[in-house]
Amino acid sequence: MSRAILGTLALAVSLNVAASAGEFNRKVSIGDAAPQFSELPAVDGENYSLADFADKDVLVMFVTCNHCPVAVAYEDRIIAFTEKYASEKDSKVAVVAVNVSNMEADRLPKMQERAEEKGFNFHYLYDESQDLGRALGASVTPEFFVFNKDRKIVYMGAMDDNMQEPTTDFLAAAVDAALAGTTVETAETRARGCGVRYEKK
Amino acid sequence: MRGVRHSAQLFTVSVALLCGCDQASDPSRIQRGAEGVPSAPRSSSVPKKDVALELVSCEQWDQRLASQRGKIVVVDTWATWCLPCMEEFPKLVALHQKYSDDGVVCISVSVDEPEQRESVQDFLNRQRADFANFLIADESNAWWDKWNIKGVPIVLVFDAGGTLVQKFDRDDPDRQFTYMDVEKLVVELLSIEPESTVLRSSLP
Repeated sequence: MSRAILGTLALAVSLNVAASAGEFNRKVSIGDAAPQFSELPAVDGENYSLADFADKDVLVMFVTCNHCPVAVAYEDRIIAFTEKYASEKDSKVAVVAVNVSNMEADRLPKMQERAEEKGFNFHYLYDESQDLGRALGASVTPEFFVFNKDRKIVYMGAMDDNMQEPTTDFLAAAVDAALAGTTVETAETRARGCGVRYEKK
Repeated sequence: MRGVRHSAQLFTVSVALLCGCDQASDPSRIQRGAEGVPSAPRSSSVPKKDVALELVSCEQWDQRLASQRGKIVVVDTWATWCLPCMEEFPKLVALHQKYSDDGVVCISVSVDEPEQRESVQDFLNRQRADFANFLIADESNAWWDKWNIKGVPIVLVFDAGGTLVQKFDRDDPDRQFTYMDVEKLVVELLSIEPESTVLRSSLP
């Protein structure tokens, strides 16, 4: 009988969310610092670190992959977004995608193919260790993060409110606010997409 | 997406072989309605008979769940566009095979668009999902909102009283659920509620 009670209590405890995390993100909260990343290979043949974007006021990062239909559905939207905010050398925004999937269809050669095919205008990095994804608490693709000048998270979650016909562009609104130095109205939304599978460490 | 289908097919074929499942002959090679025709060679193609698949609204689904009161219910939310979901699916089937006699009900819910019904049915047939399967008819966000889903797969486990006991997800990169976790909970629930155990057949 007591074993049953203990079991039920254990279940109840396990349902509680970890102390420090966002409303939907299980790892980071709004205001947390951007996780460091160093020398990640990109589709343009270069390696990139967080510091490489230090001159930008706002850094937009998103975890994505090649094969997920949700991520693919957002490609055009992201290209348009990048065209608007980060297409010039002196743009105040940088847009950086990172792929942490270890499926064959998602590795660098395939990423390069896709980038060329679609004309990706944002940086597209590959993180074999998956550490960056873990540090961001990114569990689906695509999942978006906006960092302000101090490289603190000011927005995280979905790009907008609907895969088919969006009515609210959360990401754009967050970037506008970050550029203006004002508070982001909707700081966190629930990202939706294909689950990212993390290897057990 | 073709690559997805291909690997899904390979996977389900290998699972079926491992299970030693009895594969139906290719329906296109035998006469329709000719039950028990032995001529066509055994193949790994889709079984002749569709497994149950119902298009439901979220509200109707609640009614289906309520009708399972008295049993432990395991609900796997998946989609044909979700590779990890399709890889996990055989474990739901295995759970069903292992515990259905103990009063555990396994259910699958696809969040594919209703237009994808044929692909959903096809996958379920190949998986031999001989339990209740559902496809959500509501506009795409409804099921996701209902259970606060971020990514699929997720598994919901309800106790015999119909209360949601746990929602297994992969939202935390360092704590992504496996079916071992689900089975552990099922066993725990079964041992807490001895009244729900159905008398087993005495066959060896």
